[in-house]
Amino acid sequence: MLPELGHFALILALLLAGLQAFFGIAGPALARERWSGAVSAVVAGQAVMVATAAACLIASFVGNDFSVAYVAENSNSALPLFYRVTALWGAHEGSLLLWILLLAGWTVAVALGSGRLPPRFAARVLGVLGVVSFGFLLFTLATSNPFLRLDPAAPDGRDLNPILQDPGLAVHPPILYTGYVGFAVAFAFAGAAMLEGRLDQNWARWTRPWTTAAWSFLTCGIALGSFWAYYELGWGGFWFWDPVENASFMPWLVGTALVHSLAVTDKRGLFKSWTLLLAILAFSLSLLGTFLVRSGVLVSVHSFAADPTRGIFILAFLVIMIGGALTLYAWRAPLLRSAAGFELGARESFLLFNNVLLVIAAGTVFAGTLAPLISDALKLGTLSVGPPYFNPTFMLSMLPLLALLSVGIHANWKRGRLADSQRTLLYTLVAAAVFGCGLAFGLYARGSILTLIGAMLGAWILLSSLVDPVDRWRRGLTLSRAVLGMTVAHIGVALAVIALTTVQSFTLERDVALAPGAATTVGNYEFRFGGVRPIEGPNYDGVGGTLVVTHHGKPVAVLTPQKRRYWVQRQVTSETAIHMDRGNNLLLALGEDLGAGRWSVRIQIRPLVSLVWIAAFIMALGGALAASDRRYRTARALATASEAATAGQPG
Amino acid sequence: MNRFLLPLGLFVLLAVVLAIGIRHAPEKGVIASPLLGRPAPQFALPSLTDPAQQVRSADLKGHWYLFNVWGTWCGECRQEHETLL
Repeated sequence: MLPELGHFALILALLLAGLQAFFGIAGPALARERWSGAVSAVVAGQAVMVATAAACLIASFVGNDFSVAYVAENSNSALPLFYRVTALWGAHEGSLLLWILLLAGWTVAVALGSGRLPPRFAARVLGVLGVVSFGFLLFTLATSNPFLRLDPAAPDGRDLNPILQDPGLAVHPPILYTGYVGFAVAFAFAGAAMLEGRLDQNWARWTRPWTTAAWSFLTCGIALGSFWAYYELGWGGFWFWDPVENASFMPWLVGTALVHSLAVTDKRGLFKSWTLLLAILAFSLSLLGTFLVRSGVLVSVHSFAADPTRGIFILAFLVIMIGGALTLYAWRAPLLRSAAGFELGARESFLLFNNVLLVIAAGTVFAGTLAPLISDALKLGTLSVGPPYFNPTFMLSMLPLLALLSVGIHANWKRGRLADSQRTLLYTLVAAAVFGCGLAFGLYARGSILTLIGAMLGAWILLSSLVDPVDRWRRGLTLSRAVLGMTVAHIGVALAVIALTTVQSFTLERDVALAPGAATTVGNYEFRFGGVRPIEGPNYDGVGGTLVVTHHGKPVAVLTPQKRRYWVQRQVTSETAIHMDRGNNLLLALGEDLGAGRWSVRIQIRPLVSLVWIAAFIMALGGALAASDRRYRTARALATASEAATAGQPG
Repeated sequence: MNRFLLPLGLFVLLAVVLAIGIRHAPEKGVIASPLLGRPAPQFALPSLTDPAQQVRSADLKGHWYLFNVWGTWCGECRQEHETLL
């Protein structure tokens, strides 16, 4: 009964999404006030239906209803309850439902916040979101229905993919998707502005908090994914330039550009058509990511089961959504003119460089990700693109970006006089150079020139972004949340740069064969192998190895990496053992049984790798602070007041 | 020429490439290799279990063997790892 109820709720949600799109777009276009006014109610109805569908699927998982094909494929009666719930988004169909659920959540949030927007504009925003929701619901129902029944029902399920049986899975996809889907809101604001044919500074002020919030979620989601890959996949890296990772990284890069470009449009009324294009691009890249992951055109560790039929559907959806938006853009953007100008050394210039460099970075990632596909399509042979391409090309645009950041935050709007801050910049640069030399040639004594540059840039950003806030704080002045958020996010960038530099320069990796009682030394640490013993969990068994770690003879930790064999899927996973010591991240993974009690063991020491993720969360925190600035709330209240004044005048 | 048409043009180009990519997608089950149909490479490498022992392609001549070249950074290799070992 419940699966049918869920299926039915999903169909109703599709119809309501269609109504939402129609009322939201046709209402303002044909000046039917009552149509526009009905949109909010439809939004609420759609959200209730989508939530009902999700609840029904979760109930089927919790109740072990193996007559539902999706449950039978992704769960098992021995699976712990927690993973039976998170299995909802463990595969393609359910994760689409999660996508739709989160979109419904964002839409409700926009509808609740839209009381302060001009009603026609709010209706259009919700209308565009309705189009997106309609497309995804149609896709789910037509090609990927999670409620299909099995006849006869399976006696037990095929279990959740063991790699996904981890607390990291519980939080990574929902947060990542919240970010992805959040860019739909920026896209909808862009769509509404193009339908209206008008874009002013108020528009940027309305769009900013939503975009920044989505960006924060995406930042968190990517960091969690990287962390999860680090400790669960057992390969020891935290970023592989895998197509799916790139699929989440490209919207992030363009989203970062959008956050900065919106600042210029908000403060100075410039970059209007560019901001519009970025808003379209950020969400388009989210959609493209969905396409790449689910259509089977690219091979990846993360990809869902490939299905060309689904691929064709998503491609058609992409063409309608992105093609439609870009057509509208080609028609409307020429109407947007900015009167104001700025000098070369002004803050606008630096934000322009920021945008150009971020878009170039996204472009190089895009080219690398799609190169295998293009070479295949043009019959040029099979091509594999990896870190040897991505690392240098990415750095090529990132280094100038980071170098300009410190100068940019001290530049003034409009006027290009940098003389006021020259001394501050010089002092912080000297301090940063000292820090860089210390790290590259003092602490580890085997840094390269890139170590020096990376450490220097990181330290420079850290110091220079602290100058103004510390100065204001000492003079007893208050900081707005927007400025505080910006500072925090830039500190996050600085820490990430320092952490990535240390990790890339000073990581030690060793794969060794160890007999019980034997030891090996890596860096300053000694690892003594104590042999393996059998282990058993709720739905797996396997072996756990013991390694005693000492630092110059002093005990550090006893680590127990495991190799698990999950019963149902007969899949072997490697559970790494991780320990933090003196800023170093020690990672141990158990390899193969080499016979006679000897095992191959992978030992990795990554200095400061944890700081990479912490820095990402600091960036996200900065975004959250900036998004919650009072300015956006009062701006909306003012807009309502002016709208009310206009509405009050007899036409 | 309207410069605002440029993004649309680029997108149309991308859509065509993706459409061609989808047509080829069913073949993706088999990971293609530029080395298909070429003679197998010669090698002489130490054994992982016993570094003193060398494994040579010449010794394996006349036997069936699976020779897998891989890298830690290669996505396809990670995917096939569990199947091979």
